[in-house]
Amino acid sequence: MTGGMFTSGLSASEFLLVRDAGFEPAGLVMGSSVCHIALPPTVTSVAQLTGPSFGTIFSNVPKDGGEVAELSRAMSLARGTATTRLEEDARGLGADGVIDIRVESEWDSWYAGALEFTMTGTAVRRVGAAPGSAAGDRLFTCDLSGQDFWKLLQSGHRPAGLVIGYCAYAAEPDSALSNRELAGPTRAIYTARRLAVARMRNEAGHLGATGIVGVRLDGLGGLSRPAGSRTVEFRAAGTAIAPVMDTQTMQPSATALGL
Amino acid sequence: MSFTSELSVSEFALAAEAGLRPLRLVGAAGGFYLPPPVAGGRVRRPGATLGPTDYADRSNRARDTVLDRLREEARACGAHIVIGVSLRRQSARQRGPGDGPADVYQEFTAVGTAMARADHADPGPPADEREPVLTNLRVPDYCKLVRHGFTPAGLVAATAVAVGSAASSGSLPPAVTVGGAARSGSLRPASAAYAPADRGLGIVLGDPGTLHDRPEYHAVTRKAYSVALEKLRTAARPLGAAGITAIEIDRLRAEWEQTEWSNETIVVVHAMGTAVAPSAPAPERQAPLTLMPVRHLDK
Repeated sequence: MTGGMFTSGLSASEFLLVRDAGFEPAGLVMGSSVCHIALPPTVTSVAQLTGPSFGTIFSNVPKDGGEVAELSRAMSLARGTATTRLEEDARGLGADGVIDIRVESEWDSWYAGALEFTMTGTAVRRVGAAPGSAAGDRLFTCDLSGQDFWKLLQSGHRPAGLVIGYCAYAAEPDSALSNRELAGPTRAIYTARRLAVARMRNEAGHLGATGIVGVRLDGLGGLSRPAGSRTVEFRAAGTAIAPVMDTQTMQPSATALGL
Repeated sequence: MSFTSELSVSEFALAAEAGLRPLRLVGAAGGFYLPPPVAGGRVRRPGATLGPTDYADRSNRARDTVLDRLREEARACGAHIVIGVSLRRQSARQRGPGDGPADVYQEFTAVGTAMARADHADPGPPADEREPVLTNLRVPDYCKLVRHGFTPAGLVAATAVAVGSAASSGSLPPAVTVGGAARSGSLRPASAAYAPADRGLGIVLGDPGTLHDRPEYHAVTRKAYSVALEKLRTAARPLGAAGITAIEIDRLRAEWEQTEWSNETIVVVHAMGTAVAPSAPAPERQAPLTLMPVRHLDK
């Protein structure tokens, strides 16, 4: 940080609320990771990997349906690396945590077989704490906006961490000549969603959280785009929260007005 | 005289309370010769590419030109401030000289609502000596900022271009150059410390040898980011700003170029935000804030 000037992706009212909560923005931080996935020589993209001919060219794509473990694992690796870098970036600013994190991922982003995972957020630090003296052990991360962060603190909770679960799942082959539900894809969607949510909850459990707020469940379209693809992706993301030890700080809940 | 604006009804009401009067919707546009950047001065299509430094300079100039036009239009109608400025850039449909490619022209469009302080009774001619202040904040944000002792000092924007060379195996340390000049490749390798917390949930671990992180791509992206933010700070400093809020990063992993004879990658980051300065004298801090979801009002 030079000149003590902060940068932030927060809107003005969020910036003010964060200040009100006893924090000040330290700066915009980012972490990204490009994960390399070794593709078989005949395959020219990850999307193609999961396309019509899947199961014949890549042993890790299950022929009869099932999780595409290689891709789930790539996402997990990229996410972990990106998180580490985001936190390193925030530590460099003497921050206590990162709020308002936005997550993006893209297959075949830089070249065929690359998965890019990017997180950006606003690092915040406790007002009055000298830079560098921040609780060095553990940063908190969350995808809460400045307003939600404020409300969460007001309600006697703290963010325990951003939790993400992901699953790429190949549907078992199914086809119909008449109008009926395709059981394979339906099952794939249900399973992928269940696994993504279960993994997210599992992460929250590791953080000792009591719950997860603001969960967004996204069916990502990246892998299902090629015609004939039978792979569905789900990503569940939210902020795990835990009660603050001294609940004396609790204040009457704030009124929220919809604009 | 009737006004035009892109305010919602609530914003209009709020603006009236805060002593702001909408004057008119102002807009500015411009088309510029701005072909995609190519690393290392390699000319892939003669006359249709730019070096990274050139690209950043031209992009910055083009955007500033359009924002100046917006400011000029706002001044002409006697505005104090232009609220909710949004900037859009897109490849123009017009083709280049001869049978050239279409993507060598970029079109910049900026739109906002010019407003006057209500005590400034008659908008009339540009009698006011003040430069209208541009901001990408919308009305609720503006009102809160003012109420809490800050004032928007101006819109700051920057385009940064970073060039990195990707090692073919992903094992070599990255060499990052910015604008073709400075260099720093001090990125630590990805820590392998992260253990996915999803063991035992049915995930079959693949062959670890087939997956690995490519730190050079992070290095170049991060470089572009930090250069863009540094440029924003540099632009905000003369405005007496305490900080920059509402930063929009236009494109994350923007243009990139990778050819068979070059492993160089280019990341372009367009960033824009509002510099905020403490207003003197700072009004008294008011007690609890009203919460209003203002974040993605226009998205």
